[in-house]
Amino acid sequence: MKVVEIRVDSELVDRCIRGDQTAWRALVLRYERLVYSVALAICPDMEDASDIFQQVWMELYQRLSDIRRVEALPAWLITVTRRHASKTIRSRAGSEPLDENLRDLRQQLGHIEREYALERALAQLSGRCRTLIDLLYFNIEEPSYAEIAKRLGIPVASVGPTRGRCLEKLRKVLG
Amino acid sequence: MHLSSDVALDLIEGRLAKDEETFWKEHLGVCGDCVQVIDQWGQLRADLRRSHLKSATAEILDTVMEFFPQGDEKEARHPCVEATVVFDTFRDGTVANARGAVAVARQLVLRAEDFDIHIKIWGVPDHRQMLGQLLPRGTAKFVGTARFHLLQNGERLETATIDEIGEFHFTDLPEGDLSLQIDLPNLTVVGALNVREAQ
Repeated sequence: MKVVEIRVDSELVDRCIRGDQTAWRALVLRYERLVYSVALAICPDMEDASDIFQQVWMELYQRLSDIRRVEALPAWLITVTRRHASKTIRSRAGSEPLDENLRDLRQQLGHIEREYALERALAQLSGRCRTLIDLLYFNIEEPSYAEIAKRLGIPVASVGPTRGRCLEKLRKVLG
Repeated sequence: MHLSSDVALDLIEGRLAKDEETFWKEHLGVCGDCVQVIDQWGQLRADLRRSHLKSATAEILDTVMEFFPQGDEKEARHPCVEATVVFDTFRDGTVANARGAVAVARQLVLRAEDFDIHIKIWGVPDHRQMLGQLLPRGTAKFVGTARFHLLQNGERLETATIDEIGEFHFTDLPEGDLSLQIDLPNLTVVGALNVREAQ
């Protein structure tokens, strides 16, 4: 986890401990997609996933002061989500996951972690880079370089090199 | 001649002219460095796809937000108190005028609510250290969870967490007026310190 991310999390956790509700809201919004996606990956039923989601945040709220290493917060959230999800699965009769399912699940959770890391890294880029990367790789319309150039107000020939600079910045943030 | 980032990305994304693509693909057969460049960019490009992360519903998010008490209620449960210095070897004359006092450790005791904070500051300028211990009065048990922040002019310099015997440690203390802030589960304690030579 990069230094700036650790610092943001550290300040949010400290402010939460001191009773700052806006910091709690920011912390929840920061990690809710990670927690919910992990819960849903293990328990595809939305109601179960929602219950697990609430249990995880309740546990974090109760144990905020115990978080000694803020840099481990994402891993802590994933571990706690998996624990609550496993309890939910075990409470369903005869539903122990098979070995093959565990392997698939580990792979899926790995994807979720990487996607989340990418989301956080993208959030640290400039607005211009975020817009360009979104247009190039996430836009379902799949605009051409000419359309992208028009939207960004830059020459078509600049799209490629700007892409390279923005992806280089993204790579640095990802570490 | 080696692959630049832009050409590597164009190659991965299939944006090169046919003859250029053929040239670079042949080059990759003999250049390990360029293969590494392609691998690095290829991994990043593979990760750049539509996100499959899902958000919780607004209703569930609202429920989770409400785990945290609002303003006044939380304030009442989480007061901030100032610690007072009840003992200071610099102030109370223990080391004043002592020969060789410059490098002598300074010992302080701060008190707030039901807690005593024992502090030792030692070392030479620019390399001073602080070792402290948070001790609740009236019990032999140590405090389980607490975070300590060293501040100067409102800016946080360093953060430490409590260990099993209630101790905390800061290094490289600057000179001058500092604040020690202690975050406990239901209380915040703030104490003022002045780091200086013995006089």
